[in-house]
Amino acid sequence: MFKQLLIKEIRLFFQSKQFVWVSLILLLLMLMSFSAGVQNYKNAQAQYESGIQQHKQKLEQANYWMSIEQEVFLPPQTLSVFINGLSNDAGRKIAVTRTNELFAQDSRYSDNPILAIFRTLDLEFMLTVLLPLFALVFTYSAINGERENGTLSLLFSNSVSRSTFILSKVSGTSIALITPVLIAFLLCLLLLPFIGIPFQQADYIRIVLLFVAGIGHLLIYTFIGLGVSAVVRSSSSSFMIVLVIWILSVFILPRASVLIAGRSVEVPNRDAIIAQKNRYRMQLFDEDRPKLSQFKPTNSKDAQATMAEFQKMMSTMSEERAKKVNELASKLDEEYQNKRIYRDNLALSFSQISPTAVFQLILNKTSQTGINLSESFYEQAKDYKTTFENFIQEKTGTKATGMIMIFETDEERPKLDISEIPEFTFKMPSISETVKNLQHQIILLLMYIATSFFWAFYGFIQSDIK
Amino acid sequence: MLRTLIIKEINALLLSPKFSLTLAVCSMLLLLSVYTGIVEYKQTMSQYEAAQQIEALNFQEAKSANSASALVHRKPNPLQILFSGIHFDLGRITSVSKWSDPNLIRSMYSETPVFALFRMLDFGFIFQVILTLFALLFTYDSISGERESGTLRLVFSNSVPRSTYLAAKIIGNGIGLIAPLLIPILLSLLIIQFNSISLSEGDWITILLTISSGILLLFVFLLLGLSVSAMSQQSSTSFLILLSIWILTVLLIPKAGVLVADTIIKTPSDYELASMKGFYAEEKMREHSKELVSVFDKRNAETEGMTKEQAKAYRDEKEWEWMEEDDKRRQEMQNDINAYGDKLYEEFQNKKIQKEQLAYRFAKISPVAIFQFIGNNLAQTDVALKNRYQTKLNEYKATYTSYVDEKQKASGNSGGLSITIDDEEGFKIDFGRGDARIDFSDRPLFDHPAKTSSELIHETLSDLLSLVGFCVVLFGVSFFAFLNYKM
Repeated sequence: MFKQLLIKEIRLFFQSKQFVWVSLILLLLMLMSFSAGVQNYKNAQAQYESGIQQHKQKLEQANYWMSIEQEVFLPPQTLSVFINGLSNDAGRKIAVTRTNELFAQDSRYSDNPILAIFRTLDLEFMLTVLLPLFALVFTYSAINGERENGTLSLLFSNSVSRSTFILSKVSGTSIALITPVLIAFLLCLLLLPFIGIPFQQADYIRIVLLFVAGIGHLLIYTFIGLGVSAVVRSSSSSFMIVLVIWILSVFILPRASVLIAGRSVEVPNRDAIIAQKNRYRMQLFDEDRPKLSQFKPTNSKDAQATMAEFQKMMSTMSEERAKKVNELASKLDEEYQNKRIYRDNLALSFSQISPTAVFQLILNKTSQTGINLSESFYEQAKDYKTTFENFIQEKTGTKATGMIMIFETDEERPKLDISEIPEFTFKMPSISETVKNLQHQIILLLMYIATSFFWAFYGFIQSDIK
Repeated sequence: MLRTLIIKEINALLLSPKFSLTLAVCSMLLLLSVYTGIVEYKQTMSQYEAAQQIEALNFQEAKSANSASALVHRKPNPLQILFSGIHFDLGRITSVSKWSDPNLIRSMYSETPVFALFRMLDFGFIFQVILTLFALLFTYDSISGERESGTLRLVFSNSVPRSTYLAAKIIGNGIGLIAPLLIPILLSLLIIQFNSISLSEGDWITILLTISSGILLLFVFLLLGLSVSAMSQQSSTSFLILLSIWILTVLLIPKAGVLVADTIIKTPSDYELASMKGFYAEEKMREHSKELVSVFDKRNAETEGMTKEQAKAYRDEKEWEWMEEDDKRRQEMQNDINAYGDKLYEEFQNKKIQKEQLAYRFAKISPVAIFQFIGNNLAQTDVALKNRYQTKLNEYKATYTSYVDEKQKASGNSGGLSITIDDEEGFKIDFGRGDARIDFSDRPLFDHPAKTSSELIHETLSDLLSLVGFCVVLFGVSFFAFLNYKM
């Protein structure tokens, strides 16, 4: 009996002109957004390469290791083809300066604000916004519609159990709704080798993970639609209800919860922290001035030796100052980071009252285009700064921590071999680390699936079919 | 007759669950959006004020003119509460000094990505996404639904002209949708007022204009709903058509328009531009060095055959002339590099403007995009905000650097340390002014770009007329469709 009902459900969907048309439009849109994603990735890659090229050009003009101002660039993530996330919001360049502050700058949206107005069209948008609507539109009258036109009574005049009916309804609807998404996914996978983007094996695993989560998310809304349809008697009322659910869970709850929870935590003003550090740096330098003025060279006849001795003293004092500034900086930064992390976690926890927000976090974390992207870039640039400072110390004998003294002579300077500069490579977390990070969201998504399924199931079992 | 039909429409709407649902959802959303908008505005305003204080303190403590660099913070605009536009995407801070070009960096979204994840909830978003959908829900079955239930035949069994019936539908649905909105809108404006957000008279005019354009947008969707309903025999069909149109106009066309323009007109990135300028400068410098070598050779050749003393005397005599010649050559090279850079920048700007214009043209197929442009323009959070700031920053850089140069001359030294090694005095280090501070209270202040209300109205007029045009066309379509409607 279950098999017959299941086939009937699936057949009903595929024989409906509306379903076939909407599925085709959806398929087309998914392919369009995939193609937009590819274009977006290629633009970002071109920008990344030209950034590196321009920086290399600048480095080639430098004559002194001490005068080099190193910059590191964030490469585009290959999975931004599917999920753009925050990759256009994240700063793509960090200047590794001698002072302590590192800022990611030159985000794509900031450089090209026309793109920021309507944001980009990517699969994330399709999966989080349109697919839930697709599921709700085709389920809101699945049960009460049958009640209204009398087919439900007709069916139950035979010996069909309620559980068999609802299970076949749930399975049939799910299979029908998943089919166009699965076709789009397979088409995207087939196109991947031809778009000229180097995908690694781990990327394929991530892509599969994205789509599995996408199907899970689609199922939640399918079950919600069926549940509302089972509980509410009139299909016009159930339509209004599912629409409100869609608006709330897709658009309102994630935004409002992040904004309200996020602003309830006071995070110290970063500008004030930077100013405090700068003032302390200046204060320490003022304190060092008398010592510098009192400098007496051991051999005042030899100008070169005098300058070398003076520079050594300057360097030692500068390192001392840097140490003190770093102590204050780490205290202030730690306080700032702790508060910021607390705020972000609180905001994200609140947002997860919406299944779409949970799903979006899974997408962003899996594709490494979420808030972790900026954090990772910042942390890796910070680590690189130490490597770079050590390299400069190796080359010049002094740490590039403060004032630089360069003595120009008539002698022609040999060209610097810039290939010696340690390279910055941005590292993505491994697939196992990603899955570990996703644990909470995966559990939540499964809970949403289970809850919405049981709601649809028991909603129908206890409803009045007449 | 019209009055009776309008009252009937309004009564039917008031008793329908649609009305109470719209009232509840709209009130909640509009008030929530204003609340979050005010919180965000206050946050950015306090950040801005703190930055002003920090800058003032830095200037108070500055001991040399040369080391003082002005920090310019982009000033938040109270109208961003309603339309945040690109406010959170654009860099918010830049330092202005003679050593580098000002460039706004550290956008709010790049620094606090958690807020970028789901974006802002503002008036613009609610009108574009939520209220347009409600407008379609109000109207998708207003004619086809009545045909299905048989009430349409009943009405026309009396001597009711079709035009009167349609006019009653439009007015009734319009009132039914707009009336529940006016209450939360008025409440929102009161909340803004009571939160000590300082708004000028001009701001209030632009707010009213923004709300009016929002209402105009809702009318576009009401008429669209009626048109499709008057062309469909079944309400389920009209609903599916309208839902597809809604997805297209609200979610897809604006995004796709910008992406298509971005694909058709390629603009180089800032990095590519800097790289091109760098390559050109390098080549010019190489040419300049080569030219200098040949000039020196020529000058050396002029002293050939002279005694050492004669050659020295000749060189001393020519020294000033040669210095001027060398300086002129260097200046010419620098001018050449600058002219090339300016040309590149101009070409880049022209292309960028072309791309933006094309994107606007594509996007404006959708009335929702037009409304977005109106809102952003009126709130001054539009795409051109970046250019307006850049122009003002470049002007300010020129004023500020000449002020710093004058201060430096007046203060006597650059503020850096100078080291002299002398046979008689030995090693000597001089910190110049020492601890003496310079009075920067007369420094030029940055003039934030701002448009007057008349400029704003003038700029948005064509877009407002486009929305009116949409209304007129859709009214015509609904009218003719209904005149030919088979009951």
